[in-house]
Amino acid sequence: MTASESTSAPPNAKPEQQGTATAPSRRSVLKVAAVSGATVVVAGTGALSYRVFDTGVLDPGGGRAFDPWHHWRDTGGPLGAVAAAILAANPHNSQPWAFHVTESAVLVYADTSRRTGALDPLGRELHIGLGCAIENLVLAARARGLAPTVTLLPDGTGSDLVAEVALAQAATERSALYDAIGDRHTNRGPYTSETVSADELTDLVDLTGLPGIAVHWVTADDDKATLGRLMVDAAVAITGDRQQSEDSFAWFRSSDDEVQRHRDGLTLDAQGMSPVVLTLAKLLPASSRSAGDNFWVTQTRKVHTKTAAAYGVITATDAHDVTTQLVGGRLLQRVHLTATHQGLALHHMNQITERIDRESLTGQSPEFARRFAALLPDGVQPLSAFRVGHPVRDARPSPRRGISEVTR
Amino acid sequence: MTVDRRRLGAALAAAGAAAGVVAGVVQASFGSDLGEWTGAKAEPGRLGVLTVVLSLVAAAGAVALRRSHVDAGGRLVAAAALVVPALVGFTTVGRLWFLPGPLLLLGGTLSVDSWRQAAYLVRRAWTRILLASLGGFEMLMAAGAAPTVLVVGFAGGACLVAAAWLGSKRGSGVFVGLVALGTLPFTAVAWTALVPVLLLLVAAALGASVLVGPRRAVSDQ
Repeated sequence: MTASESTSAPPNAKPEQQGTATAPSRRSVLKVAAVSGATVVVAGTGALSYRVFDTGVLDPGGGRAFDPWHHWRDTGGPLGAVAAAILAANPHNSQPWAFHVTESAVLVYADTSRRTGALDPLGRELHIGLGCAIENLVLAARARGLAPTVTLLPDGTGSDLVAEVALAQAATERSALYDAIGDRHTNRGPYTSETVSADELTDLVDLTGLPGIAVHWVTADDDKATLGRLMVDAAVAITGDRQQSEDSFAWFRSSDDEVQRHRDGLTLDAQGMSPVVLTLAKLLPASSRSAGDNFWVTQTRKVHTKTAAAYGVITATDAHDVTTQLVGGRLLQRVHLTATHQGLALHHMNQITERIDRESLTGQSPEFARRFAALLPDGVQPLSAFRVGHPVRDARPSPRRGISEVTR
Repeated sequence: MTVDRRRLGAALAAAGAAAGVVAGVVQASFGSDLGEWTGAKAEPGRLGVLTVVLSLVAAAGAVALRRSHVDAGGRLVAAAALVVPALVGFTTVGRLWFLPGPLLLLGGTLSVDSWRQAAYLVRRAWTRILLASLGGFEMLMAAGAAPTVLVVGFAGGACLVAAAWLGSKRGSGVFVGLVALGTLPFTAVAWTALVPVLLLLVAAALGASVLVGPRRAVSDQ
């Protein structure tokens, strides 16, 4: 068919196009309806395709934001130790750290601009997260032939400088915990009904060089149920506290663009959902704060507390002492790395201590402190809590800022 | 008059495509240093490459418009090859697209001789336009995917566009084969995203509709 033919053929041959008033046949009405329906379906497919693209459904854990998980072994020397430190557990993945690196030392600072507000009003979680980073730093330094000497709070408690890690040349000392650094992720998914034996739990705890703290295990069914209820109640209380809820939601990254731009915060990928449910969650419009709160409470009630094989609580005689918090963080990271090495899942569950500190700061009745204390040995305070178990599915990595963004 | 207008449209489109290639290369090479000028994208390298590919598609459209024997259907497809990249480009390289985008849109507009005829052709080929759109959506999904899925998705999307272009002109076997190649492998590697499964079903329905309709390719219209 030529251009001239096609130019002359179509419009003139159609009576309806010449303004003739002809009643449409049933067949033509059905045809128009079918074409319109097909158009709507294709347009809907297009909208969903954009959501697949926008939320990174087909490349979870991909892109610049996740590069630190793939390249943390590549760099040698003190800077390489920092590459491992930035993969540590930390509150809401806020990554509240900064590092100054020299040939012979790494200085670890608290980045107070990255605090989580009303969720951590006293800085408890901030310092625990920094302790986790110090533990990774120590393990990675040893693996790079550097013997670390850690001095906590060298300038006192009022300073942002939380640790000086002096590094001396030494024999390379690579450990199983070091090898687990890149595989350690918080697993918020369901755990199987398989129990974790007392021996396995004991093996998770190595207190070498970490004075003043301990781990209290909650394994009996009744105690687990009581602690689980307390965790659910704390989650409900946090979502009912507008300031805490908003400060939590501020760290949620809903699109792949946000994840790649901020390289921090909480993501749908890290919520432990099954692949199909995760996809559905990503395809739906980004959730509101209240929807996110409801999801968290439901997960806490029906997944987190229902499937925990055991709870661990890191305890100290003074949970508000900053040095104790840093040491507790080192222990928490050590426990998590050991669990990873042993194929166990671990999920940090700090809603109770978040409510304890919130109640303390706002002068409310210390309901959660009292209820939590009733589950612990006399004379100790809870520093941090977590659950362990055998995972139904692997956890996914969280986004991380690169070395260049956290070094001064 | 029409020929002059068409030539002007082709010239503008060629200039827009060339500027688009430059914009894509700049985005891929210096995008992370240019900030807002390139849209402050998280992955400027990948988006720069995508922009170059889009600009090359537009360049092919511009070349097609310069050929004297292109029929009305062909011109319409060429216009689409200018307009679609022009619109997508606004999302890939920020302000760098402020020159190539309008040039391509203007070129695409000038290349249409008769809007009434264009509307008729679009109506006649609507099912295949929908099928080609699915090919584009498949490529969109693949653009954010891991490397293997990305390759499968782009190849599949191209197959769907080719199927839409040819219709059943080369035989129903070729058409069905292209639709199958365009959807099945991508669904196999990306089914957990669910949308590829939906795309497969919709493409199958549209493909069946094309097969039972008149045997005609877009280029024949």
